[in-house]
Amino acid sequence: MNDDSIDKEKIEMLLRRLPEREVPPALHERIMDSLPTGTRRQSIPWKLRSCWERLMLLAPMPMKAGAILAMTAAAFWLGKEVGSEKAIKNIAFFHENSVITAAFDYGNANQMSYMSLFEDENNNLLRDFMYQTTVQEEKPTVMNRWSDTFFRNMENLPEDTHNSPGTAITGTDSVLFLLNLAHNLADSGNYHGALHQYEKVLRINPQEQTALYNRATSYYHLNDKIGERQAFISYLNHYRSGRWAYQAVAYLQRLGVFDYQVSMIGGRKVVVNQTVLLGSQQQARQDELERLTNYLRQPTAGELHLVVFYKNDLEKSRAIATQLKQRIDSILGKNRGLPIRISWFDEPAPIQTAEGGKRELEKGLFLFTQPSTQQRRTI
Amino acid sequence: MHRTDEEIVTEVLAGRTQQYAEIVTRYQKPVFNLMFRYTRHELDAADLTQDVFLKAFSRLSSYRPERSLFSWLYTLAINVANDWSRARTRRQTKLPPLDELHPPHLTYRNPAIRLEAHEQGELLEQALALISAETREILHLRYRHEQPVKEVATIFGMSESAVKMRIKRGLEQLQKIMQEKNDHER
Repeated sequence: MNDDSIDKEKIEMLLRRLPEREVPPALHERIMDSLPTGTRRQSIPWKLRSCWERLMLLAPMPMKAGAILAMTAAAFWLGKEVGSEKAIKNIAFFHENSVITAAFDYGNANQMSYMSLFEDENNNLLRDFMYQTTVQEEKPTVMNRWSDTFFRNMENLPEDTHNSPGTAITGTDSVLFLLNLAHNLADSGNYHGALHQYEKVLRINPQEQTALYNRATSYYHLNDKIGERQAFISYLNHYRSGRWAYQAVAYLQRLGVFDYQVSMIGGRKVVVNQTVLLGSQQQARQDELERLTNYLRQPTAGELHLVVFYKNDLEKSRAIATQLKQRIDSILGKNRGLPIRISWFDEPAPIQTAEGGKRELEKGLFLFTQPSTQQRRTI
Repeated sequence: MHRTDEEIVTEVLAGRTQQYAEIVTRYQKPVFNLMFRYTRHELDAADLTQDVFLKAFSRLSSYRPERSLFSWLYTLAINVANDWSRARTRRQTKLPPLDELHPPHLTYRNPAIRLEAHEQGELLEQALALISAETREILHLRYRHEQPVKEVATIFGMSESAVKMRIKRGLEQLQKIMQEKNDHER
């Protein structure tokens, strides 16, 4: 759990989102069969089907797994019997059941099928096939490389179009498909594979929010601290508010990166890069302030409080606070109607590291808005 | 074309009994989940769900369209669940603890959302298991199924103010339990 206290609104929200269990697949049939309607079919196929449905409803997991395994074996045997490449292709692609694909001699069948589909320019089938094969493969293989080639080709296409009429895959489709693939790989614990797919999404759309965030969490699961830090920073370069942005700040602070902080501005939480604001790079500071002023223009902004601290340097704290106030003033313009109150001090701020140790932040900035004195009087 | 519950009921009562399948499709999930919360066992929950739909079918002529079919069916389901609970108490059977059960499938596709929701949802489910079944179901109906207070009151045979009080107290109980568990975990 995060550190937020659990209030009633949060509980109400969680109650609304409580997950529900799926109904056992044969329950509907079972209910309908039990109705006293007198229209039940009593033929032998019906009896067999009914028996199977009851088995699937009542059987414990090992029995279900056994039954599925038996079906897979039967499908495999059938595939062998039929023999020809064409039959393999038809069975593998026109039945969506992945166990059938998995049953084939992996390397050869997949490669032959891929080549065949590639030659046919049948991209929808090819996409489904890539999905099945890359999900199943743990390590980069020939199929993974082909999948890369396939998606690289797709990335080079004009937006939302495809060169194969009638089987168009849009850019949006590709992103959704790749995201789903990445999520599934992450689900199965294959974070390297997931990362690979999130990167592909970001090559198509560098601002794709889900991919940006989950790329970072994949690094986190892989315990790749450098990758994690860069990925979360990259997320914050694009998004500064919303739950994921606040989480990204928390993750970064856990990694010892205290450049970002969450500030309450104009009635909403916004992530601010304090290092940039206190730094000497003029353009970066200007960009950061402009980003901030979007929130400061909200009518609910009230008055802005800006507090700067530098350890043992009161004069510098004051100078920076004054400078920032002037810059915000100039960006907002004369008719801003937003009082800015500045303060400064020369004490470091105590912080706690992820390991629970105490540290000092030698310089920093607090930024927040609150209702103005006049607004408070009206309340 | 979407048909209303009333239209389907009318057709079933007129002899087109296979139309009842549509009603089962629409409401089997909430009923099954209600039964699962009582029984904590999939097969028992499936059996009780079947009982509910069978009873509903035989009593369909007593359904009045002034009330929603969901509310009518849910009242029936609550009664079946309470009967089962009473019978279980007599038999003194023990319910499996929550952590032995397979968690329900979360609908979120995104691992990030799922991770956060999973932690909080898990805490809430643990807390829900510790409050009275009636309060838990009132909260479920009000929030998960977004039923108006009036409808919840009808289902449980209470006054509206009693339902509001139950909701308030239920939320407070959940808050207290979750806060304690959260503090304990930290």
